[in-house]
Amino acid sequence: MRNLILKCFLICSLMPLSFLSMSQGVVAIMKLDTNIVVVGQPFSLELSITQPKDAKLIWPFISDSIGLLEVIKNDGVDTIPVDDKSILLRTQKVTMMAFDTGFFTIPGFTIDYKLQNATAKVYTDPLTVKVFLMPVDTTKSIKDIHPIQDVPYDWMFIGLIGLGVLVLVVIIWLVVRYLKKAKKRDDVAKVILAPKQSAYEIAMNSFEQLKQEEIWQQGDVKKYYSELTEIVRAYIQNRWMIPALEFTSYEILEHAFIKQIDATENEKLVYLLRLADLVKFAKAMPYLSEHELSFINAIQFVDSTTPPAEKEMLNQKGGEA
Amino acid sequence: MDIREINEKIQQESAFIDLLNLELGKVIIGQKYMLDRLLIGLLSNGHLLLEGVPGLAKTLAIKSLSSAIYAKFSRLQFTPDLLPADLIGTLIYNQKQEQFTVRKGPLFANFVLADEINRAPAKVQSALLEAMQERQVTIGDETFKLPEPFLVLATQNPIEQEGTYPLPEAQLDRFMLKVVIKYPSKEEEKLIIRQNIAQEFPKINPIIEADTIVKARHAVREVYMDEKIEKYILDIVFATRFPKENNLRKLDSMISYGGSPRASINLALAAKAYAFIKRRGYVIPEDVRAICHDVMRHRIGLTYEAEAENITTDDVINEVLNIVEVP
Repeated sequence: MRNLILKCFLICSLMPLSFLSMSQGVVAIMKLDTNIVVVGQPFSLELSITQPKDAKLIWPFISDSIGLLEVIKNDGVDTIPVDDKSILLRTQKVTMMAFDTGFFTIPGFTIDYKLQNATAKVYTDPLTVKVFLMPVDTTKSIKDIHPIQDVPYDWMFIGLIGLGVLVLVVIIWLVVRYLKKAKKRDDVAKVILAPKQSAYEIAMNSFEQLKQEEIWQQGDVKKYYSELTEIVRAYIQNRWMIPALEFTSYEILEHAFIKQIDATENEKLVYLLRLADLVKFAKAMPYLSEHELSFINAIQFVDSTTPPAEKEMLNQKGGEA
Repeated sequence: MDIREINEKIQQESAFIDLLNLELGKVIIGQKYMLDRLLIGLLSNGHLLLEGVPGLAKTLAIKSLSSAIYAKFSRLQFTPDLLPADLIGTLIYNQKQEQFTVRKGPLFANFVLADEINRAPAKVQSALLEAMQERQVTIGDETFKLPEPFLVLATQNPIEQEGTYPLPEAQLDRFMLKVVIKYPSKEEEKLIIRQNIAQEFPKINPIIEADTIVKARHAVREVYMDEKIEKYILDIVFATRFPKENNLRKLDSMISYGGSPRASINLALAAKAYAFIKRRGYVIPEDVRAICHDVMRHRIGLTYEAEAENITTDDVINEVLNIVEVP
C-alpha cells in the first residue's frame, strides 16, 4: 500500500514535467486528405512540424516520387504564425497521384533536430493509401467518345466586339482629321494663298495709297522706302507665289523668277532694292529726285511684269464702277 | 558719327581682311566658310566651337591664322586624364630661390586650339571655359590677364561619342559660334591631293600686328546697325523661344528651350563682324541670315520628339528664317 502511494505521488509530481518537455520539444505530424483514391486522382500529403523557435532541425527531403506514388506538385515549406511566439508551426504540402491500383505505403519521416545543445529525433507515422479503378459496367455496350461540341454563338459578345471596332474606327478617324487640320493650320504661313484681288490690282491700289500719304514729303524717307519695297515684295509674292516678304533683297534678286523678267525691269528692281536697303539700314539720304524715280521704277516694274489680260480686267472693272 | 564716315572708316580698317585671306589662301584650299567664321570670332572677341570629322584643316586653319598675325599659338589635345593645371599652369618650387614660382600653362597664347574638348572631364572644361569668359587665370594667389587678342577654337568630333564628356548647354552658350565644317568640294580636294603629293606647302608670313586686330575690334563695334535689324534679330530669337506665337505651331513640340539673351547679343555682334569682313559700314539682313545658323545652332534645345523625327537645330532655324519677315 505504501509503495502504491509512493508511485502515485511520483507520477503526480512528474506529470507536469512531462508536459513541459513535450511543449518545449518538436512534434511532427504527417497526414493525408484522403486515403482512398481512384487511379489518377490527385490527393495531398501534409507534413506539419511544431518546434520551439530556437530548435534547429533538418527538414526531410521529399523527392519526385515516394515509391509508386508520384509527386505532381510540391508547395515547399511554409511557416504559419501561432499565438505562442516561442513556437513555430511549419508545414509542407505535396500533391500526389498514383497510376496503379493497390495499397501503397508512405513511409514515416525521421526528423533530426538540435535543441539546447542536445540532439534528438522525432518520427512520423507511416500512412497507407488505397488506389482503385472505377468499376466498369461490362453488361452495357461500348460507346464511342463524345464528338466535338459546337460552341453556341454569343451574340452579345460579338455585338460588343463590333461596337468596340466601330468606336476604334471613329477614334482613328477623329485623330487623323485633327492631325490634318493641325498640319493645315501650321502650313497656313507657308502656303501663299492667291489673294481675291489680282497681284496687279493690290500693288496699284497700294501705290496710290502711298502716293496720297506723302510720307517722304513729310520727312520720313525711311518709312517711305520701307513701304515702297514692301509693296513690290508683296507683288512678287502674289505674282510668282514665292515668300518674298521673308526674303532678303539678295535672295529676291538671286531667285529663279528673275530670269523670267526683262533685263531692263531687272535693273530697275536691283536699283530699287539696293537703294532702299541703303536707306533702311545705312541711314542713306537719296536726292529728292531719287524718291520719285524709285516710285516710278516700282510702278513700271509691276506694270511691265503683269500680263495684259489682267490689266484689261482691272480697266473693265474700273469702267463698270 | 555720320554713316559715310563709318563706312569710310570700316573700308580703311578692314583692308587687312583681303591681305589675310590672300595669305591664308596660300595653304588652305577652300574652307572659305570656316575662315570667315574664324575672322568673325576674332573680330568680335568671341570663341568658336568647330564640329567636323577629322582631316578638314581645322588645326591648319588656326595655325595659319596665328602665323599670319604675329601671335602666339598653342594647341591642347584634350584627354580624359588632363588636369586644369595642365591647361592654366601651376606653382613650382624653386630650390635655388627657396620659393614657389609660376609656370604658366599653354592657355597663355593668343590663339588656343582645344582639340576634342569633349574628351576631357568637366573640371578641365570648366577651367577653360572660365578662362574664356573672364579672360584671366588665377594661379596660386596671383591673377594673370590672358594676352590680347585671345581666341579659343575648340573642336568636337561628331562621330565618336563613346568615352566623351559632352559640354553642358550652359557652357555651350559661352561659345559665340558653333561652326559645322563640311567636306571640301571635288575640285578643292583635287588641289589638296596635288599639293600634298608635290609636298609644296607655302610658308605663311606674318603680315598683321596683334594691335591691328584689337583696333579692328573697336571698329566692328562701330558698324552701324539700324533699329530694323535689331528688331529682325529679336524676332528671330523670340521665334525660337515662343514658336506658337510666331506662326510656328509645328515647332512648339520640337523646341525645349530657345535662344538666350546671349544669343541676341552674339547674333548682333557677329552680324556686325560679318558686315565688317564684307567691308561694309552697316548691317543688312543678309548679314544676320548668313551667321544665324552658327550663332543659334548650339543655343536651341530640341525635345525627344524632334530627335525621334531626326529634326536638327539647323532645320528649326531654317523654319524660323522662313517665317520671320525680313525688314
